[in-house]
Amino acid sequence: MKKIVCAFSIIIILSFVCIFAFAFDWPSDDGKYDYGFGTKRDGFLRGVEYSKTEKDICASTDGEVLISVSKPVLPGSYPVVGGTMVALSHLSEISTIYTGMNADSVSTYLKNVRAGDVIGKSSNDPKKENGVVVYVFDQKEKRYINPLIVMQNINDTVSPVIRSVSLIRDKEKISIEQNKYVAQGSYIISVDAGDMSPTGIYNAPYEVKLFIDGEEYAHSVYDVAWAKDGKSLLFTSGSFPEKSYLAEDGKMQFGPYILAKGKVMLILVVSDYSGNKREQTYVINVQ
Amino acid sequence: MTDEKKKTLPVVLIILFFLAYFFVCAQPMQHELSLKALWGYDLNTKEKSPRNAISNEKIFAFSASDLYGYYSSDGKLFFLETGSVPIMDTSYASMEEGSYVLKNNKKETISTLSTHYPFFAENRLFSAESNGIGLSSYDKKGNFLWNYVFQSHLSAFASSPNLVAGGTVNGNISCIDNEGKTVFSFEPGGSRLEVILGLDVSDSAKHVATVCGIDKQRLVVLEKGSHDYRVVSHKYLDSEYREPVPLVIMEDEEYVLYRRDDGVGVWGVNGKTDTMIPVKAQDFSAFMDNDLQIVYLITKNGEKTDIVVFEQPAVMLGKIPLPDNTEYVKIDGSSVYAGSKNWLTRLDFVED
Repeated sequence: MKKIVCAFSIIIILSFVCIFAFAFDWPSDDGKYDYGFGTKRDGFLRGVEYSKTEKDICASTDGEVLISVSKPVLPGSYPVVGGTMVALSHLSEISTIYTGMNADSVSTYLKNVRAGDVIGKSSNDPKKENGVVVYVFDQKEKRYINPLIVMQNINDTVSPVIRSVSLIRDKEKISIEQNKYVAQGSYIISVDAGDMSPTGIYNAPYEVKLFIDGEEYAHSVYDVAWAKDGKSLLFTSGSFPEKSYLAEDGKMQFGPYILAKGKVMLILVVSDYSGNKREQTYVINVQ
Repeated sequence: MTDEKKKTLPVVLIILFFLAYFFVCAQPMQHELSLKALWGYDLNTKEKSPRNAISNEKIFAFSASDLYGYYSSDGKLFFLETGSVPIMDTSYASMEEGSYVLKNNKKETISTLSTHYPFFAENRLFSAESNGIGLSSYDKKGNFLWNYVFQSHLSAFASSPNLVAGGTVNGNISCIDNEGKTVFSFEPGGSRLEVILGLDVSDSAKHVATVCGIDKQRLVVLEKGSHDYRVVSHKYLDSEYREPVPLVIMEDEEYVLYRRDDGVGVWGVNGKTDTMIPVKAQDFSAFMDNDLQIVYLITKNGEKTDIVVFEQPAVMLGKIPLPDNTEYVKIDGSSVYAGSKNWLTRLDFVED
């Protein structure tokens, strides 16, 4: 019996060792970022964005420099937004990309980096629109990964929030809370729900489930984003086109769904990456 | 001394300075080619000409440090403003009350742009997205045409009148037509690490060239066949750049110029020429002079800018160093317009 317990303990310890050995370190501030994956920042943010303060930006894990750009434009005139970009390749076919560091802090001669090596610095330059943004890219699957999935866990005990749910038809927006009677027809369901970032800024959640009359109608997991034929697609749970999922006002859009006459029960479940949940039920009278 | 004489004296002195500078600093060129200074002036004292004063002279955009404006080939300066803006010969985009406004070279408003990152390339108006993976195209009036999202962050970019190419940090090249549709998507591969470091598209869109990968780095040239693009030549390089690499497909589409550690490489599109111009250049651009049948290579090494003149494929005729503070160089035919935040001049190559 003792041998079994001992072996079991060793397996658990080894598992933890493996998990932490393969987890990436947060590049700065132990993951205290302002904006997370999926938050609307001139489109769907594919990484995490730090605040505009002076700090070191470090390599998340051992790797090799793919490209280091310290000029504001690429040959051919494409602007390097934020002024700089450094891309590192890692053994696990994952690359990390860091944008918006100070131009004079980015090395153009680095080849190999170790986890924790400073690869640049961020600043509080008021001329910069954004802080440093860190992206995680899966080179094998050719898609951006939510950094929360590969970085060290962040302790989070706060549940997400659901701010509002609306029905949209022909550009008319009906708040479910205010008008529980709606006409029969096809509606887009607009959801304003999110989670607080480690610095307390309203962000995208990690998972959203939408049930209509007990049946799961939509399920978005903020895990990956990729591009195909020039179009941006989101989430392995459903390949949502970004243009139709993320509205101009930053709200999520599901559907359109046909709401038939009678009582319709709509349940929204929103979770963060740590598993904290918020659930809200709405009853709509469809006439 | 009369007022008129006082005004002309600085201009004469500037022209004399440039003439003296090029006589002293220039390296020998073939005896039948010489450089003639046509005009030059101090931007701090130069009077602006009314816009309606122009005749049939060409109008060029000027941009250096935090100055931008327009001048004509005969040296008239139309306006000079403070700021750093995207600019081309026919229009520019200036930031006004938080939005970019597209204006023509007469300062007349064309439209307001709904983008934060407009830029001009090959006389086309584009905009980037803050995530570094998106591209939008606009017509000359600033109307939105299409948006394209690349696989990952752009590390190289090139455009021509009918084709746009984006190279990414994961080693993909996607080429897009004028309707925003993917013409082809290609991964050169062949290296331990895949990344696109340099890219160019020929004006005719017949050729696409790239410097890509690390360990080993490659130069790959693609040619449009009857149906699709295929690799027509490639070469493993000795370099191991991990930064953007300048690359130019020459106008006649016979040669590709690319950065090497020991100079500017010249590679035949068909793979039959492999030579170099022995001039080191961290960055460069190339312009063909079809009248004189020569090529001007504008090379940049830190603060230093030179004009290297050569005959194709790689017969170097001479090298003319420009003053260290040169920030602006424009080539039009046999004319070189060079400047900084303080001065602007025109020099013409002529056959003796």
